[in-house]
Amino acid sequence: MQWNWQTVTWAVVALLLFAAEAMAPGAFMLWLGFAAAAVFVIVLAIPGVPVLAQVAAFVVLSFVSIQVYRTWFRGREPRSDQPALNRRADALVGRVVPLERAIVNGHGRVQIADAYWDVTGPELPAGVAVRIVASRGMSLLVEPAG
Amino acid sequence: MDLGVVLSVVLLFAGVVLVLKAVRMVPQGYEWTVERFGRYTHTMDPGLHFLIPIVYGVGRKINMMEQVMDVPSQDVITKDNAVVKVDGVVYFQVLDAAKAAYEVAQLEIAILNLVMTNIRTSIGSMDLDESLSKRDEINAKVLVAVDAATHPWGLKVNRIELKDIQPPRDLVDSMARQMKAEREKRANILEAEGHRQAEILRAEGEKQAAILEAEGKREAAFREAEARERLAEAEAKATQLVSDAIANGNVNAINYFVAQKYIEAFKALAEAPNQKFVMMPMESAGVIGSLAGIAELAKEALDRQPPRAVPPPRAGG
Repeated sequence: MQWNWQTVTWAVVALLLFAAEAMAPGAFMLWLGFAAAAVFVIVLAIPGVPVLAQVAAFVVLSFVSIQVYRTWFRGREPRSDQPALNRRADALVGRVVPLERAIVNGHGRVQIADAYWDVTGPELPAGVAVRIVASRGMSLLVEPAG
Repeated sequence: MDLGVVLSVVLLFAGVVLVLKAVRMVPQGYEWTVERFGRYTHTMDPGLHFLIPIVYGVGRKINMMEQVMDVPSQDVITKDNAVVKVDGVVYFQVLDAAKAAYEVAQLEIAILNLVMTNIRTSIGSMDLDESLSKRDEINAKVLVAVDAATHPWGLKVNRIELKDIQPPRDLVDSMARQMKAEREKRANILEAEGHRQAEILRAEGEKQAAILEAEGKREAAFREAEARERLAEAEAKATQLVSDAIANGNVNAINYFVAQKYIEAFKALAEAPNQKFVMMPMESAGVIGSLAGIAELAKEALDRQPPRAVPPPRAGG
């Protein structure tokens, strides 16, 4: 066990990075923190590693930690309980509304809460109730309801 | 050693910068476009993302929340050449971050100009009164036009509201005067109507009163006549009864009544306060005669003898 400037420095850097991440969440100092912690373990276990190698290890380990997260932890992120947040078109899926303008050549129009939306679907006369089944960018995909 | 330190410092700096560029966290409510050497490839939704630094970079940071923009006040000429000041407000939301980022430069200026020109167009096609009273129609018209025009920019315009339509001061004054005049006219008409109604009602009342009075008089006359008839009938009957009584009874009975009246009349004369000078009838002896008749009657009643005829006294005195 070697307690010297190098080991102490890496430990302090790691702790400071974690603290900074907690203070200002930017999600990038975390990986640097993990890398610093790993380098600290390395210099503690193997004394006499040159500084350049330590720094190189730190940089490489930062990317390794990012890759580790991407590979193993990415799929475990909790899903949002409101997936349609800020996605106005997706939020409308499932609604049943009357057709304001008949669907001619695949294009019509509905009015939902003040705003007019272009809809695509089968040829239907105006006034028919349609169900929104999906959003296609700027327009909504509809089918006759019932 | 020195070289090693310099290299380490440079390496450390480069490494930190690379990590900073590789790890991107998009906040909720925004979407960031990603460019590969300056060319758009895809859009990052909110959350944690990792980009290969140098090759990939963040292009534009697009706000996906609904935004409100004030439409500055502008002078608009109506169909009937009135100049009005119009301002408003626009609510819009980006639906397609990539289009909003690259299809249009200076998105907000583009939207504002579209809204302003469309407001001009729709108010210019109406006269002043219409534009003041049909705001929702104007709103709807402008909304449809602007929404269609902003479609290629990945926008959804949700609402456009005119906040204020201000005619010039003197026009407002004359509008107020016009309204006042309207109301005064209505008030005058109502007052005249009231007077007319009141007059009619009064005349009606008078007519009714006159009719009722006449009816009352007629009724009274009828009843009076009836009363007179009844009185005559009664007198006739009384006379009949008296004459029946005379026919069937003694004439002295009449004499008795007459004598009674006669004496009562005398009594009245004697009690009269003005004069004590009494003119006696010529045949005052007749009274005495009737008194004798009474004596006779009494006698008859006592003796049950047939009565003697006594001449009736003459009426007089």
